[in-house]
Amino acid sequence: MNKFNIVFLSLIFLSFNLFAKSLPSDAASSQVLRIATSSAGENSFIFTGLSGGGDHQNWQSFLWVPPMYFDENKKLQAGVFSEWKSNSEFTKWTFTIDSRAKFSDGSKLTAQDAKDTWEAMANPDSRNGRIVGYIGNVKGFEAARNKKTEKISGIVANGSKVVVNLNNPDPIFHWRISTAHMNIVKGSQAKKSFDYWKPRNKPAYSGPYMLTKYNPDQNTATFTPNPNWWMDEGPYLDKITFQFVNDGDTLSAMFQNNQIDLSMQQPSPILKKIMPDVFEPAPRIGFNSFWFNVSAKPTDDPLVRKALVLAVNPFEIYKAAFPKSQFESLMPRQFMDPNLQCYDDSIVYYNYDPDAARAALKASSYGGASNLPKLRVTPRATWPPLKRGMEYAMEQWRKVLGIVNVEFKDRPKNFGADEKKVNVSRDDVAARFPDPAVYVFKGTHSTGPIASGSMMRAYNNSKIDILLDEAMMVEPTHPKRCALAHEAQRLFLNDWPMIILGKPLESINRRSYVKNVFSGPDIARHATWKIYIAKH
Amino acid sequence: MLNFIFIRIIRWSTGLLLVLLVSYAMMFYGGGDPIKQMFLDELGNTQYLDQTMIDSERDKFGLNDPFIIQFKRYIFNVLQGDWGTSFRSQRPVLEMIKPRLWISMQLGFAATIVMAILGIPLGIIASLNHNKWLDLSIIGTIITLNAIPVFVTGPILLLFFVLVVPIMNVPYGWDGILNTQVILPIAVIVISTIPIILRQTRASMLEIMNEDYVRTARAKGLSEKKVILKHILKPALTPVITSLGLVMITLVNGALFVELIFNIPGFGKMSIDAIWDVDHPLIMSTVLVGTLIVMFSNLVVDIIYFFLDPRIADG
Repeated sequence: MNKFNIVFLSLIFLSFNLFAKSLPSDAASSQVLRIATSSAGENSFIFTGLSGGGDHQNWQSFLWVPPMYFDENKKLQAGVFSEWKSNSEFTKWTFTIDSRAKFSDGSKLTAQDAKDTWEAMANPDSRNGRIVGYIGNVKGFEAARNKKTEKISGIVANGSKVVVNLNNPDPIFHWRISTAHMNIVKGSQAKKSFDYWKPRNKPAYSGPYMLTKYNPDQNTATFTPNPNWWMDEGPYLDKITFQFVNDGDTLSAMFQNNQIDLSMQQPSPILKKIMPDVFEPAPRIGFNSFWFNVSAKPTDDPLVRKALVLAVNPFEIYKAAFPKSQFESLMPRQFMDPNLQCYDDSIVYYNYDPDAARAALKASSYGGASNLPKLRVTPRATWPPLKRGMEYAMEQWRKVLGIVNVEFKDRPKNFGADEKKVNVSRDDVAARFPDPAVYVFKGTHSTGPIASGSMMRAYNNSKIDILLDEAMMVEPTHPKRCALAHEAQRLFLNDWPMIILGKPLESINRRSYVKNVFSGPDIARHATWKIYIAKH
Repeated sequence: MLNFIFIRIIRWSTGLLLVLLVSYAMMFYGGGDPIKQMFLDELGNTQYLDQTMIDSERDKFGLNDPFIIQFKRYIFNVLQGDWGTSFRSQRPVLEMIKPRLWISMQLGFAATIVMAILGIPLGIIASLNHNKWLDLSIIGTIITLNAIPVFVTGPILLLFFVLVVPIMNVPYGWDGILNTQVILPIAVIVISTIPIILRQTRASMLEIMNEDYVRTARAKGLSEKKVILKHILKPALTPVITSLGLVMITLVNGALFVELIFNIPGFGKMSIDAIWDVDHPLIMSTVLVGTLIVMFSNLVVDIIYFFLDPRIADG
């Protein structure tokens, strides 16, 4: 063998070692992941990267790497953006694109792709309802949202840097976009058609896998590895198959019969007993509560609200709604979610106190149950746990306070002309990053969706507004941000605004041999390139 | 014969238009806001409802127009072959319906054939052994099976054959009618519908067995086999065919629970999803197709009557 051949063979050997993915030592020989998906219905069996939310949000990060993301420990990690910084006023943010980032077609992922993607998301035709919460504060967003222009003037693509100019200071703007809902897709494709993601349009992906087969009639899809994957690790799986499975019992049988490895849909409760290792809580932020309308009689009187709250045993309403046999759940004792940073579990909103409840009702402007106008209540859904929770509360109001004049309807619209008079209705405060100030703001600030919207209908506490306005200007890691949020929560709870229902845990259902399935607070999987099948 | 068919088609066209009008009115006035529904999560949470987006979508689908304008536009478009675009999936409705309807038709036809093959002979056997142990055993078993709803039979059989006696995988999805995974779904459908055919056959047979002309046939010395097959079975099958037609219509329109349990992407499941999503174009198309199926099946049954009962032809 001459010298040339030796060098040539060595180069081939070296290139194999450089480019071949090295599977973890405990990896199985077959790397096929079988996923069952379903929760939002058959018509949501789509994989667009532009609409945010929906069932497909669970799987977005297989196809696209997010700008940044919160990991399972709620720590911020780089994604497509490797660096981020703001000016001292938090009005101008600069994000640097990872120099390695590229799409599956081999083209570089550029700052222009980020600008084009977010402009496509701002277009209402993208059906992205969450986008306002993410980049609504960017200069020029409103004009793009109202279709006056296709461009968002506040987003500037400058080489490898994306510069974002805000209308108002926002110290946590970088947190807002750290989610799979803000994935950057190939801009030219996204702007061409909202159907860009379907395989027939040959979409380019920045994530570890590509959607190579999609059959909306059979409700099946297949992901295969991205040949131009740009990170150092993975992807390990040879194939990912998706099957829409509607029925919980069928899904359970498929799990038990080794036909499915991973699912976000809840299988039947029985499976929890048979295969407890399949269930793994995911760190979703937010939980359901019953909110009082502060503009409708009689819940406009804080003492009536106090009576209604104290008459309900928080442990019992939780048990009624989410019995242990059916749910993995938590019982929050305060407004803040346990997944938020600086959560203080020593804070307790209230304890069951029927005597204090009766005293509050007597001291109220109505003087007692007989003078109380009709209470209108709705769980705003037909999901049995919500109805059970509300029925328990109604029964407690009857037993403890003697209130019988209560009208229950599944949905607010069923009250017809009296819809605005609904006294108690259910919603959650959803947040996709673990910042307590934003979470408390959404629930309590007079301009937030809960206080100003159809839940509380014009709740306004100027002290809370001042505290939260100040908190929103503080850096996310500064202790003052937490302190102000906690104080706002304290003032809020003093106004008797809600009854806490409980928190069923979002669950990843996976066989134990599927390794490295991580979930962040936006519910999406993250670091999907690390997922592999272990020997079993 | 042609005159008979022509009159029926004219009569049914009016009925079809009325069905569509009533369905559209029910959907328009009482179905909820389809666009809002599109952006609610499964618990009806409203935080991501953005009015700009809702206005844009309503405008795109012409939902701000008055009822009569919308209905006229719908009828006009349907007559031109445009059945609309699904609000939710943004796909042409016809493109969505075709594969699903084809699946439901295959499933429905297959189940009907199996049901007829099993139900009619069992009904005959039961009637020929009227009030004997064989008759009582057949009827008792069938009634017991019929008393268990499909959403119980389906999972039980599935769990039994997949987990208890593990002879198969969960037969989910659809790989065509000539695939072994349709056996269990068809079995579940047949178990739930076979009593209709069996009891109808038995009752008709018993009724006709007592007719004078049957006695005459026997008195003339015809063999028992000939009496049963020629003089009893043929007229007895007329109401059985009607029942078969009705059952088949139901099945083609969607064996909903079977489709849900076995993940068969059929017409019934799509209809339910359409109603759940308040997806107007899809709802209207399922109503239209469902009505056409009923009308067409009735026509087929009427034509079969012509051949089974000459009195109808004479009439």
